[in-house]
Amino acid sequence: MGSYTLGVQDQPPPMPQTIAYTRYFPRRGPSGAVVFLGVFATMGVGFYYVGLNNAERREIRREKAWTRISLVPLLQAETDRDVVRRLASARAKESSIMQEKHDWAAVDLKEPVKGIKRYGIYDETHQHATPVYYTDRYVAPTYLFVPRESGELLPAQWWRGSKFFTINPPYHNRADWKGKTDPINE
Amino acid sequence: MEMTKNEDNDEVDYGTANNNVGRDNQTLNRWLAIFVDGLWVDKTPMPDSIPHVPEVGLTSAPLESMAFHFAQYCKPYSEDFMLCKNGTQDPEKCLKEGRRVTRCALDLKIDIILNRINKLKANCDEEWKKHWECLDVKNHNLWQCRNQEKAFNDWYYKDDTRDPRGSDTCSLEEEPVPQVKI
Repeated sequence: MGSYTLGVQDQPPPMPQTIAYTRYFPRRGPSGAVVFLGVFATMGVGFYYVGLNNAERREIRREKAWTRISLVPLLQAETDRDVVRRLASARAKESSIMQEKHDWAAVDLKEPVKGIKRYGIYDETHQHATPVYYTDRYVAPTYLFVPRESGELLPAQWWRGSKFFTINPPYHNRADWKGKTDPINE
Repeated sequence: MEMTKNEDNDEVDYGTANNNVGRDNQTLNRWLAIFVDGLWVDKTPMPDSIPHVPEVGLTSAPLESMAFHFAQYCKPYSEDFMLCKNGTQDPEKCLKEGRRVTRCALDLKIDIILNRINKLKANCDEEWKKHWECLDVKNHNLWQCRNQEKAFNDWYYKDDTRDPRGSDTCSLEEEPVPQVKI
């Protein structure tokens, strides 16, 4: 027996004087205010470009509007001529139909007519001749009589076979089209 | 214009969804003739009392490419027509001014096609045709056909003092309201 020395043993690390048990988050990076400022700055830059683009789109829209405004007199003149022609033709047809009735004015809302009561209501017993409109201004006819037997009124989509089954609608003006012929340009 | 064949005058015929016979006439636009029920085909020619004028016969793309040039070229006639229209809704009262507008547009169209404006020998209406063909492809968006528009305008205003590009005409108010010519 005698003294013995200890060899190198696997010891735990020496106990520090203080044990850091508290959490530690170092304050680094931008502050909250700076983050918000950065966000709003980025948004501001983005909205600036949005505003520029909106201004450009507005000018494009203005150009489109002025294109159409410039063409209004030309197109309105064409339509006017067409309307005058159609009304004259309707007036002639209606006059020829109502030849026997001598106090009939075709397509004329200012002609005094017997049976027209106030507000344009028809009442056969009212035999005092009054017109529908008393004004001096031009009054466009709202309704026109088109005989149902004449082929003048066409459904807008005459090339449809039916209103419901619209798969593979037929195309007109094709050489192999075997359906209804174009009644306007035949 | 609706059609009505009412024998029974007490009952208002409101028609079907397609044929709104009893529709309120306040909703109809009095300036344009709108045929809401369908197509009214009437091939009767114009009455002889009204002078004949050849129609311009342009589709939407050439008209759109020509719009600003038409506005500049036919300004007095257009203004005349619109002032007449402002005075009355009657189409028969403004037929004369309308004929003048149509003739001026026709003149412009023929001038562009025959190249009389610029008196050049080659490229009669190539530039114009390219512009409106591009418009046809690009959904009539003028901003998508700027190259062809520049070529057309360069050709149209070649050696011409009427060129408004580069000048400050948009922000200056020259004759802002057309004056009534007595």
